[in-house]
Amino acid sequence: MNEIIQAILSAVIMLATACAYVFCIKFLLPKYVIKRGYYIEDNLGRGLKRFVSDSGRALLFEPHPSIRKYIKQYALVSEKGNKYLQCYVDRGANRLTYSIIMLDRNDKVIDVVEVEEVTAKRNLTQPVYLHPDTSYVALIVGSVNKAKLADSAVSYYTQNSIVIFGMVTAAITLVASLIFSLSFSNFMSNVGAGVSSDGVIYFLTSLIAAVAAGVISSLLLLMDCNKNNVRVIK
Amino acid sequence: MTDREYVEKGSYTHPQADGYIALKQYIFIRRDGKRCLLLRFANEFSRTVHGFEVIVTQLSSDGRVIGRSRVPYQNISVASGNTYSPDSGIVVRENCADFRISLVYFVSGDYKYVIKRGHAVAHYDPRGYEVPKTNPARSTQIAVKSVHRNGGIFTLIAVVSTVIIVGLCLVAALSGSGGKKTTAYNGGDVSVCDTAILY
Repeated sequence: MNEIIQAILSAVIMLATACAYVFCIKFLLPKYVIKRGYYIEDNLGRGLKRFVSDSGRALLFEPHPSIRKYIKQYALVSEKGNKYLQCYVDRGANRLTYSIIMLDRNDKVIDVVEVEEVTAKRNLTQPVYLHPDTSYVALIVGSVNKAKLADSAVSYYTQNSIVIFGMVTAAITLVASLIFSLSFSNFMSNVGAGVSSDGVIYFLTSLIAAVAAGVISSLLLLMDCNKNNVRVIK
Repeated sequence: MTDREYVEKGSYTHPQADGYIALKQYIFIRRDGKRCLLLRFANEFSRTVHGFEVIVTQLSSDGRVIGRSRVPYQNISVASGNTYSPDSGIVVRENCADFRISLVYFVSGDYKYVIKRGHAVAHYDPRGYEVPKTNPARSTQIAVKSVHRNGGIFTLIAVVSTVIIVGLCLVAALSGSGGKKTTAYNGGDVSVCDTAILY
């Protein structure tokens, strides 16, 4: 009877360890260890005019000079609780891909959306609905007429943060692997299966798992950066 | 048939706001007994202009102002660099010897550019602009996707790392069992095998 309880307890510890591990990797590390930076300062527009009407209000902006030849002006419109953005694009830019970094009043990035659009001769894009807390935006043009622009990166990671991410992942993996291995050993011995009870072997395999997890996580992150046009800077 | 007589033709050389709508040429004609002014504008703006308004100030031979009128041109489409010659002339006084033109505003797309002190101030005014029938349909959004949530890669990392942990844990547990022997019934024959193989 005592063995069954110990087996159940070991199984619960294994499950809890796995859940805690996944939670750490998926939520805690991206939030506290590896933070993605955004190119905001170089992509802010200049406010030109404010319009107030019965239906709402609108702010007219002139984009940053680097993209002004593609997007002439853009307007942030707030109507009936909805906020949306419309761009007035150059007539030569028939197919446009641009990213909108939404920021709140505390300069915190709320959301980033990537828009691909075919513009008509009126040169006015369709409204892109923004997060309700959006106070201002930064615009980055990714491609014009299917030609990708050189300076179109929206976000970045630092090299140090990726290295730290790999090391922290390895450390968490080591701890989780040790707990998991010992619980597994205890579980198996309580259900009558003969498994190794040598702690050195479990430690060595946990160490291997930690190193592998650290390296693979860093590599996967770098591959994701390459795929999603996220820069890695010093 | 209208009776038309050309009176005077020339280039407009007075200073104008640069980079917007500029008057290039003018012709004084006499049509149906009335003195008229025909104008030719050039769109020096970087985009297509869909309407504009000018103030025409008529001057007598001694330089006195003898008349002033606002002339709007709506629902037009003049591409950048092209010229525009309205069909309708402006009826002027008989003693009008000279004139001045000043641009009040022009419309391009959903923006109305009001000229103030020689510079255009943009106003977002989509309702003030009627789309000419020749213009195509509205713009088309192909894709709008959020790229802020990068949870996908971290989910993958978590799954891969968990698999590594579980896999290596199993390897360690089973490979290090040290040959603890157990028996298994195998179709009537009693055989001896390693526990690690069974599990």
